Formats: sequence, structure tokens, C-alpha cells
Amino acid sequence: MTVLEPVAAVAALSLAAIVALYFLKARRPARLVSSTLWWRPLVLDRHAAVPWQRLRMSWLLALQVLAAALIVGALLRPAFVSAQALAGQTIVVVDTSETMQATDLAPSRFAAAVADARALVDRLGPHARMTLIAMGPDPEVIASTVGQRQPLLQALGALRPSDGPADLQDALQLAVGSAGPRASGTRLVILSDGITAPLTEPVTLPFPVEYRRLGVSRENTAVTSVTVVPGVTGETAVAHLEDFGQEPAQVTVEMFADGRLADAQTAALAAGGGQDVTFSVPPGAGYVKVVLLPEDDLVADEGAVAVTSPPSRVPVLLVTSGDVFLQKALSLRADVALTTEAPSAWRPGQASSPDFDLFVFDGFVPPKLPTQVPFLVVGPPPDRQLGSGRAVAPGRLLPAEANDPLLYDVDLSNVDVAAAASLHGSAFGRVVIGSAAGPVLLVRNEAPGEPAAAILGAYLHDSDLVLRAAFPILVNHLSEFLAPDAVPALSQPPGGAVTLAPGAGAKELIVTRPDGHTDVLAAGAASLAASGGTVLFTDTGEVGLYKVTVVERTGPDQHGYLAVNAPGTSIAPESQLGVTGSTGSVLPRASRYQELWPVLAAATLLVLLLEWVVYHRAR
Amino acid sequence: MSGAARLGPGDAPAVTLSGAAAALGITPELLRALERLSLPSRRPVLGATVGRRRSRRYGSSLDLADYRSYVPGDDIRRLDWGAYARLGRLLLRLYAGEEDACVTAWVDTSASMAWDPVGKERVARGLAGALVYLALAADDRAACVGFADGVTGRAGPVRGKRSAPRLWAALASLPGGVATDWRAVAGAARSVPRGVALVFSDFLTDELPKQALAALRRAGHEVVLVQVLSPLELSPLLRGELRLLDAETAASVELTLGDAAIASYQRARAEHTRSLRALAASHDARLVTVHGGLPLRQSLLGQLVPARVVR
Repeated sequence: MTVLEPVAAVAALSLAAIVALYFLKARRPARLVSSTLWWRPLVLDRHAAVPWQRLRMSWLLALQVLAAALIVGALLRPAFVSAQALAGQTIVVVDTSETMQATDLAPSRFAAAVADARALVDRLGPHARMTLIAMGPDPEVIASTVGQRQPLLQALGALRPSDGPADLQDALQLAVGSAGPRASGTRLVILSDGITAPLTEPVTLPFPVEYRRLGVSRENTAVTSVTVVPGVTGETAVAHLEDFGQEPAQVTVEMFADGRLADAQTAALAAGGGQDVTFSVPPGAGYVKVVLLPEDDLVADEGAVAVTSPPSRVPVLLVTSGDVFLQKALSLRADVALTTEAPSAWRPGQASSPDFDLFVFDGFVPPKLPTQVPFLVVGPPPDRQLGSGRAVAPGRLLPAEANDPLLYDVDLSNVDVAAAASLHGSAFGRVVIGSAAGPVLLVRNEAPGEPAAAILGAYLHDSDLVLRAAFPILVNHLSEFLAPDAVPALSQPPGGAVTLAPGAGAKELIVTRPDGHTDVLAAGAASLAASGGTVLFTDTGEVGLYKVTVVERTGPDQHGYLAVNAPGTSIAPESQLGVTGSTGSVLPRASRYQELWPVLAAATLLVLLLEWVVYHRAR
Repeated sequence: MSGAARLGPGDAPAVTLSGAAAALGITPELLRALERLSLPSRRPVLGATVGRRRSRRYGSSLDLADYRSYVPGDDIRRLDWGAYARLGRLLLRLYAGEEDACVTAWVDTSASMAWDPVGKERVARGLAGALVYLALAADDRAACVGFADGVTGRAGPVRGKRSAPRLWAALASLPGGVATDWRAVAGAARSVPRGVALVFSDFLTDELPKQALAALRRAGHEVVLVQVLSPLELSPLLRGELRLLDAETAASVELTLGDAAIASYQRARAEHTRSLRALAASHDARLVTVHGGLPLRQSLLGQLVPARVVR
């Protein structure tokens, strides 16, 4: 037996009121006021005289109290419970994102979600359809059956939480697709803590939706990033710690170098605040891992890894008469090893030198352009190989195409170039930056016998380009386009796609995941050459260090490391998802109730009738 | 939809005004007036997503907050290349963050609020509805919680002013409770995201809301107490030999009411307001008293704007 309207117990006050009427003396006209708070000082010394009278037994009192008790009982809506099975189509979305690993629900939010899903599967009716959707970084339908529980239970048993975010938008699209064109009889149950990638706008679905919120804790500390910074005396690891909760935290931060404990510190984190902690990295260490202790409810973001130095340096040769801005802009890239030499020191044999991955020629064009190594020419003199001519006055610069990746965040609106080499007649490559006087930046992609290359026509000393923030960004984009990293040096978020660039000279690309599993991404030089020497790696769902091995056609294998770290997030469960469904019951009630109020109402009428009889007999 | 109105082109963005909005006294004219107002917070916030309020974190607003030395791996878009040209040092610009806040309207639904025949409860819920709309229009999140001797209802947090009708419907239908128990607010202080807490009540309780204020501040809320009083509480019309019954506790007092008694009543009211104001100040909160007999627009523009709760 249960009570459906416990709030109605307030009506029990009426019993006291009835009794009070029998022994309170009515002395003055009563007026209801919001509160007697401000009136009470007036009567502190004037208590009313004897407000009570002796309570005497009365059948009327007993019957009225009984009637009131029956009415209160009816208002409480007491009911018996009976179970009911699912019918129609039920779509269950199970959140498998990182925050579902939180252990504030024993053993975890994810386990609680799976248990809830199993309970729904157990209630599946004989002709009812159920579809299970795993909501991680890439939501997918993991099972869909009619009346069969075993495939659903097997899919739930094989389900594992990921280290990535939950893509609610894609999961809802899958749910709508699974529902089919006729949504009647369909219901959606979302088992989640509500921490998902934000919806672009509130979503309304054509069927009822129930969001079962999982999780209670808001407290979470995390290592949100680790960066290894070169310094004068050696490398320093800078870890950023964040307290996403509402209570301050005292933590111990341990730093492991190549898997061995190297240092530890304590840190006091303010609620909602962050703090940087630095460690000296032992010489020769390949990677560092920073870990927080004690562990809180979410372990996945308690540690982060970083490669101590870029897995492979990019040797760049700058041939210049001396331009400090260009030199500094090139050296901003963390993995660049920059060498500078004067144009007079250039030897023709260097054009095919394997010692450099990129040549940058400033105000100088070698007699024979490199045929193997990518190059960038800045402010070239007139040259037939490049098609550059005499100086022109471009003035304001204009992007040739909207959304060219080479011009992301490059603001050309306030750049003025007084003089540049004319590239009007050059067929060197596609135009990236133009002007009233013709192209200013030409870029060409890699082709057989021709390395990737670019020409920036502007004479740097006759332009304010070098003084603008656009300059280092543009140089950085060109440098990364012409000589990309084999493996990104910066940490990547889990679940994202990463471009690996082993180069066209590679034969095979092998990635070893943190759990030891090995993926051969590209076998054979032909497949790598066909993809321009780059491979898109998407299986980054697990946090940790990924080892990337590039098997070269000639020469020794190259090794690099890719760090994948959880970005850290609040684990406070959201009360709502921003998803609304059509009206109606989401699930057949977990319980069906047989209510008793009609019986109580009938008994009340009987008692009131009796009270009427007693009253008139007493008269 | 019966009883619904929609603002037209050129007006405030389209929000369907349902029967709940009408019950709260929210009209298209009031919404247009709200579009020109804002709900300021006195301190930088710690929000959940990008918003319009100054954040305690660094972010990506246009306001420069600080510099630090550049280290490899930093976002070179934030590099102060001009400073390098002048100083020869690579410095990174740090910008002030702008985040949202969650504005929660805590609405007293006790019997003393419902007692007033003139309608102070309607004014309290109407002001709550207007201020949550104000928050939603400024890219904040908003929620509402009804309380009396416990939490009597809640809705939100929601985002976007198209979600305002949901909060209005919740505000209009908050069930009434019996007596105000500030422990209910204290217990629920952490159940809503931190931000701005607007507490609408008559504060007619034996104990001042010290426990609730302390809990709201500990939970990271900036607190504004909005005391809504009926004209019959501000200037009682009662005279003669009467027994006054307390709407919440059912306690009674027997009095002979004349001019002297009314003057004594006004002194007790003033003393209570002073204590409440001092308590609010000691918790870095603000108190504003609103006349519960005025139209909603007049309460908003004539009382909350001068008190700088909105501007």
C-alpha cells in the first residue's frame, strides 16, 4: 500500500480545528492576518484570560472527527500497487561519456545506467520493440529487437564507458531515425547525468521523453592540461589543476617521468578555481604524467600526460640577410629547430639536402629551386623560376577565398604593403592573398617531383605586415602547411580526429594505443602516397599516451607520441536536458494503482448522514 | 490557443504569452520594457557557459585582463606582436572571461503570502516572472523554487527566453504551503547552480532568515531579498476589539486596536525591517521592500530600478 498525495496530510489540521472548536471559547470577532509577528509586542503583558473550556465527550464531536479523518484519508489517495509491462516501442539512450565513470553512485553512474536499462529490458513485453543507443562521442545503435531480451542484455553487457563527451544531438537524431516515420507508441528514455555537448537549440521530439538523471556529486578536481616548456636549465612541466566543485580541495600532485615517480607537491584549490603547478622534468625523460591524489569520484580526469619534447624536430633553414621578425615568427612553433645563414653562404648542393624539412628564402632565390624539400620564398627579387617581377605597390591586402585554412585568424584588414614583388604573371600556384596590384601570396601543393611551396611577395621592410598580429599567425600556418608534424605536439581531447602526417616517404603507419592494442593505419607506400602522406586517426576514445611508429621506405623507423587527455569538466548532474517530447506518459507507469478513495468517500457520506441523524435527535 | 498573445515583428522576440503569463500580470508591454533593462551582479561570476557577465576566469571577451610570458604551445593568436616589436619580449594577452549566471527566483508560497486579498503573492510571483525573463533575455540561465515549510515546487534551470513560459507556468502553479521555514531554503541552496538568488517573501517569520542567507552565500549565490508587503500590512485598517489569527501558525492574539496600538505596530514593523536589513548587509546581500498593491510595471520600474536590483 502506498499514498499518492502525501501533501494532503496537511488537511489533517482540520481534525485539530474541529476539536479546537469544541473547547476554545469564542471571545472576540476573529480576523485572519498574514502574521501576528508585529502585533505580538502589543500583548506581551496582556494575555487573554482563560481561553479554554473543559472538553466534554460528544457523539457529534466523535462523528465529525471521524468524517474529517475519512476525508483526509481520501485526499491522501491510498492505493495498492501492481506491476505492468512495456508495450509499443521503447528507445533507451545510455550515456557512455567520461563523466558517467563517476563513482558517486556505487559502483558508478554508468553501472547505474546499465542497471536501469536492464530493468527496462526485463519489463519488455512480448511484441514490444526496444532500441538501445550508446551515447558517447559517436552515438550508435547497439541493439534493436522485438520482444527478445537476450540480444539487448548482451549488448548492455558489452557496453563500456568512453573517455569522451556525450553527443546528445547525434543520439537524438539516431532516436528519431530509429522511431521511424510513425512515432505513435514510441517513447524515449535517456539514462544520463545530463553532461553532454550543448544542443544548438532546444529540441522537441514527436514522442514522449523521460530523462532519468544519474549522479549526485558536484565535486571534481582535475588536471586539465599538462605542457612541457623548455627552459634555460631544462624542461619544466606546467600542469593546470581545476576544482570544478563547490568545496575547496587539498590535493597531492604527483609527477611521473617515463612511468617513475619523480616529484610530488601539495596544492590547495579554491572552490571553482584553478591553479598552475610546475615540476622540473628529469633530463632524458620521454614523457611525463601528472596525477592528483586523493582520487575523487571521477578518476578519468585525475591525470594527464605530455610528451616532454616534440617527438620529432622540424629542421628549418632560414636564408636571410637578417630579419628578426621572420626569424622569431618561425621559431614560435615549438618543434622547429631553426638554423639561419646568409644568402652568400648558400651552396647549390643544399637544395637537395636531407638535413632540412623546410627552406625559407628571405629576399633571395637560389639559382636552382629545391626539388625534394618544401620551401617558402619571402619578398623575392625578379626570378623566372618563380615568375616574380619588379616591385609593385599592392596597398591593402584581400583574401582570395573565404575560409581558407591558411588565413584562419589572420586579420588583413589593417595591413598595408607599400612594396612587393609582382606575382601577376606567375603560374606558381593558387592565390591565397590578393591585392589591387595582383597576387601577394601564392601556394602550391605537393606533386610528383615538386615539393609543396609558397611565395609571399611582400617586402617585409616596406610593409607594416610584420608589426601586425597577422604576421606570426600567417607564418605559423605556412610553416605547418609546408612541413607538418608527423604527430601533433599538443595534447588532443578524447574522441577527436587527429591528422597524422608520416610523409609521402613512409611505408607504414602503426599506432599503439594506451591499452597496448595496435592499429596498422596505412600499410604500403602506395596508400600513403595516395592520401598525400597524411592519415586521419579517429580511434582516440581512450585517454593516455599513443605511440606512433612510422616505418620509412628507406632509413630507420621514426617514433612519436600522441597525448590524449580528458579536458576536465564539472560532474554536477544537470536537472534538465533541453529536450521536450510530446505530452503523454513516457512509460506505462512503473506501477498501476488501485485506489481506495472511493471507498473512503462513501464511508464519509455514511458518517455524515449518521452525524445528521444524531444532531437532529439531540435537538 | 485560447488566451494567448504573441508579440509581433519589431517587438521583443516572439514569446507566447499564455494564461500563466496573464496570471502573473506579464503583458507584451511589460516584456518590451524589460528588454531595455538588465539584472546586474556585483561580483564576477563562475558560470557554466559563455554569457554576458564578467567571469572570474580568463576567457575570450574583448576586455584585456592581464599579460603573461609566452610559452611554446600557447595560442599565438593572443600573442602581443606589437609588444614584441617594442620590448623584444613575447607576451601573451589574457582576456577577461564572460560567462552566464543562473538567476534563481526563490518564491515564498506560505500561507501568509496567500492571505492577502489585495494580491501580494501575485506581485511576488509576477516580479519573479519578470526578473527570470530578464535573465533569460540576457543569455543567463534561470530557475524558480517555491518554498514554505519545505520546497513546494521547482522548475529549471532553463536557457533562452523561449523557455520563459515554462518558468511562468511553474511560478503561476506553485502550490501553497503552510508556514515559512527558512531551513527549507538552506537545505535546497545547493540544489540550483550558483549565481544570483532572488528571494521573494514577506519575511514574516519569528526567526530572521540567517540560516538561509548563510547557506545561499556558502553555495556561491549573490543574494537579493525582495520583501513584498500588502497595503494592509503597511497600513492596517483593523480597529476595535478583535482576535487576530495568524494565517501560518493559527496562533491568535486578542487586542483592542486604536491609534496607539497601530503606532506600536508600525514601530515593530520598522524594527523588524532594520534587523532584516542589517542581517542582509552582514551577508553581503541586499534588501528591497516592494509595495504589494502596486501594478507589476510600477513595482518594477518604481521600486526595483531605484534600488538598483535592475537597471
